[in-house]
Amino acid sequence: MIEINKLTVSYGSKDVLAATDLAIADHETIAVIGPSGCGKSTLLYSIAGLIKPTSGSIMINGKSLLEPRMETSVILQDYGLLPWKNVYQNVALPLSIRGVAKSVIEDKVNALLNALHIEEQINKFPVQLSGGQQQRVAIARALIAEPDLLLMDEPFSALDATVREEMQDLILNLHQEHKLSLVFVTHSIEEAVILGKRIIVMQPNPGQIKRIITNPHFGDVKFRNEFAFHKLCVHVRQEMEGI
Amino acid sequence: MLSKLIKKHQTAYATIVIWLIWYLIHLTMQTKVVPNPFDAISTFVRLLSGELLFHLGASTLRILISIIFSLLIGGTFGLFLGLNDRFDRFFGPILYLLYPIPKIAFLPVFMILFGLGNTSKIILITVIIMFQVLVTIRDSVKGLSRTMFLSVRSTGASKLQIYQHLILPAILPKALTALRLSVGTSISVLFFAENFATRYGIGYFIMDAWTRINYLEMYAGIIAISLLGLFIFKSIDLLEQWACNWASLEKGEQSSYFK
Repeated sequence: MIEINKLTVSYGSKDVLAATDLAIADHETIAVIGPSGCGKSTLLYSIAGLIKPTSGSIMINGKSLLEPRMETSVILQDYGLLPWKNVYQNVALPLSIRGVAKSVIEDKVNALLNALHIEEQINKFPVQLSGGQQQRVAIARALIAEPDLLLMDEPFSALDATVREEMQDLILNLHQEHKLSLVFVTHSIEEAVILGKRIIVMQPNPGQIKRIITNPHFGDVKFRNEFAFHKLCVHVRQEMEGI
Repeated sequence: MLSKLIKKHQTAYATIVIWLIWYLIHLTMQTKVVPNPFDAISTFVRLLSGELLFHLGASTLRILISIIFSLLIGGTFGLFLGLNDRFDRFFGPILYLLYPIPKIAFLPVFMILFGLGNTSKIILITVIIMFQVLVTIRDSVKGLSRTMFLSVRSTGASKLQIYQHLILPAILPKALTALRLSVGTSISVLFFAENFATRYGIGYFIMDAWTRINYLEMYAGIIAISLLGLFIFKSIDLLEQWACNWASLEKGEQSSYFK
């Protein structure tokens, strides 16, 4: 359970995020969408504990958030993989930072690489991987510490359409399997509708939530080809055009 | 076929080409100033078991000590300025004014302040390499992507762990490039500095042979100084291959895009 109360983040005199309230239930997925400057990334980084709020507070499971949580994983726009570490070392990073025993790390990394079908890339460096493979490595690194909350900042924006849909399905499966909460920022209306149980439309000057749209069809595998999907996309688009 | 052979034996290839050119100049000019390269090499080999090794050792030691100091000092300040924008605003402009000054101009000052011996020479070389390392490291820290920092921070990494996993591996190949660039200059400067107030060092050996009009010994000294440079360059290469094999992967990518 995440409770965001009157969260304000300002740079100088400008409010990037103004007095925002939001409650996120366990195992929920939230899509955040809006034009640039609406504070959507700031909201995400704040939930990650990477940005200190100017005022207001974030409570996660009843505890006030003051620094990055061990149980929160973040996947950023260009994945943030370290070029000097190979796939194994990149995925293992969160555990080696926590001083987990080498044999435990090895088992976990191998299992996860198998599950994500990138076990053959284990010794390769990020520069030797395709975009989709890099994305899978980033997902593996995010899941290795068994998080209860996964945050993603436009994670699929660099991928082509087919790989993108593949990744969206993968994330949906992982969300079911690992029982985690998911908050992600996206530019794509379709992606918001596919992955978001609730879709949060934000607006700029100052950054704030304009509307929260509930998605009754969330989790339906065939949803992408149905009329209801397109109807909801149009609804979200109309909300965004009104900004 | 030929290009493959050259790639495999780069140093041997370069040596043969230079000897050939040297030999051709020797044949055409017929002057004592350009002796037969084979005589020069046999002189080099003969002297190496004696006094030349001593001079070579003195120069190598001066360069190596300077490299270590300049990496420590330049590296620390480069990191500090790269990570602290506020300080860089104060020091950056000062750095840019000092950076282009040929540091060799301060040799007399260093000699008066730090004595005529090794100290002033080592300080001179250190200052030359240090500036290059400092500026390179500062810029490469600034160029690190924000998402990489945030990704590592989000795993709960401490400051020390951010250095260990992110900052140091990122700057190491850049620091080695800076070394490679500045070591060439520093050898020329060392040669010059070794002509003052010392009786040890390859620079002294070469100039001494010259004043004695012993061109064979002079060339033996030149061979020695080129081997000194080669030794340092190859060591940097080895260090890079060992510690930054990922960087060479990225370099390989770029040259294949260019084709």
